[in-house]
Amino acid sequence: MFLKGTSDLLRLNIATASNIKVKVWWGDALDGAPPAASDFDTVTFAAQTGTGDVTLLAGVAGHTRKPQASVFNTHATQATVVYLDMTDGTNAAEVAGSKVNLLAGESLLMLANETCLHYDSNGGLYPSVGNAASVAEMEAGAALDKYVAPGTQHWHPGHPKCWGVVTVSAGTPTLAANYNLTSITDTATGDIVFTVATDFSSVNWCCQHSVEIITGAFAVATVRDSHVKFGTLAAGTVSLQCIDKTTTTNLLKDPQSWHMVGLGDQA
Amino acid sequence: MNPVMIAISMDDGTLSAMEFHCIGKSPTLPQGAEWMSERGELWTRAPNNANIAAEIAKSLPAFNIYGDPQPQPVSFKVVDRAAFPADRTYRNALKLDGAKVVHDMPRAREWHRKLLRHERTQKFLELDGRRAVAVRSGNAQAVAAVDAEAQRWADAPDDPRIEAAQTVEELKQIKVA
Repeated sequence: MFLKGTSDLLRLNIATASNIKVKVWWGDALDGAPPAASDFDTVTFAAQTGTGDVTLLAGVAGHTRKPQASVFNTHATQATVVYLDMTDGTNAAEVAGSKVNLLAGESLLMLANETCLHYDSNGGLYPSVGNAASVAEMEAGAALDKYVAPGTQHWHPGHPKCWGVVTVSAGTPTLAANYNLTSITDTATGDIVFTVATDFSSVNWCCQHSVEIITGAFAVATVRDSHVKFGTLAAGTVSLQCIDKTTTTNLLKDPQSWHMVGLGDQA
Repeated sequence: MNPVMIAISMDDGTLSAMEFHCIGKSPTLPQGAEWMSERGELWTRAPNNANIAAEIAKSLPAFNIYGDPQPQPVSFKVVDRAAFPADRTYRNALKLDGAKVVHDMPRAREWHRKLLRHERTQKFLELDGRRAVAVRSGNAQAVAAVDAEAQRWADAPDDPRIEAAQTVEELKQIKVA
């Protein structure tokens, strides 16, 4: 990037009010002559707490300025999307790769050749998001040249899509921990409904389940077996039932705890 | 925000208890929810009537996947978790009475009879074995004792104390001697 006239501006756009510290440094040369050591300069801006465009550096008539910039989000909690652009007073162009969501403590560095680097709050460099697998690529599960991101890992066919642990220690069961569930419904003794947040794409999903026995003894009245209730494996819900081993028809009984995991394709 | 308990009266006279979660983690947003952060780690939703009704409709469908009709919700009420009796022995006899969850005594009595009949089925198998041993050994006194015990089990569901019981605590005390 070069700033060559007074209309040429390097700007920073801040989407959300936060606390952005900016430093810009550049080489400045008369047109046609290489810069001397004295032609390099820097400026550090006061923390930017507003939104919109902030002019970081302007060109000078007859000069060629080549800037670099670092943008640091010093806010304790607030994230903001930022990007750098250059305008000649008429047209503006975003610096490719500069648009990032700066979390608290994160920084963006633009080098002289316009390469942009995004660092996390620990100084770790973000990988190129262009190499992250898309949802479709995760669902296909075949790409060998894409990385799995935490935000898309769960779309892989072999990854659990939902799970839940329910304890039955008091008057009503408690969903003690879960992923991708919105509720449980206790419909009767030994009969419970799990409701999924993001549904499966069909009723053909695998519900793995089990229950905890209520004592250490293996008497017919205390052992427990879990089952998918007949006809209840729907795209967004499943009912489980728990029985003891008493004759001649087992009795529905509460377990000590319920456990379920769902695998399959999501809608 | 803690989960909210919903007592749901069903058209077959039973009561369902839903634990409605107001905060969760999932790939997409459930009905009425919004993300708590820009990256979508967690969602939140209000436990209002629209969201609760949608959750109930999803959780308790009118038909199972084979087309068989299922019990349907008639009404619901947000209640405190403590409103539900801690003892689940007569859980299937619960009903909603205003803001309270109470035992429906006619259903509780029938449930007690069902438990006795179930226990009796097992007991009869055991008694049959004991009787066979007594018969083989020619012990008429033992045979009579087994027959008397079997009769007590046979009569158990008709125990007049069941119909007279006014609380589930009274029902729990009614056992075959």
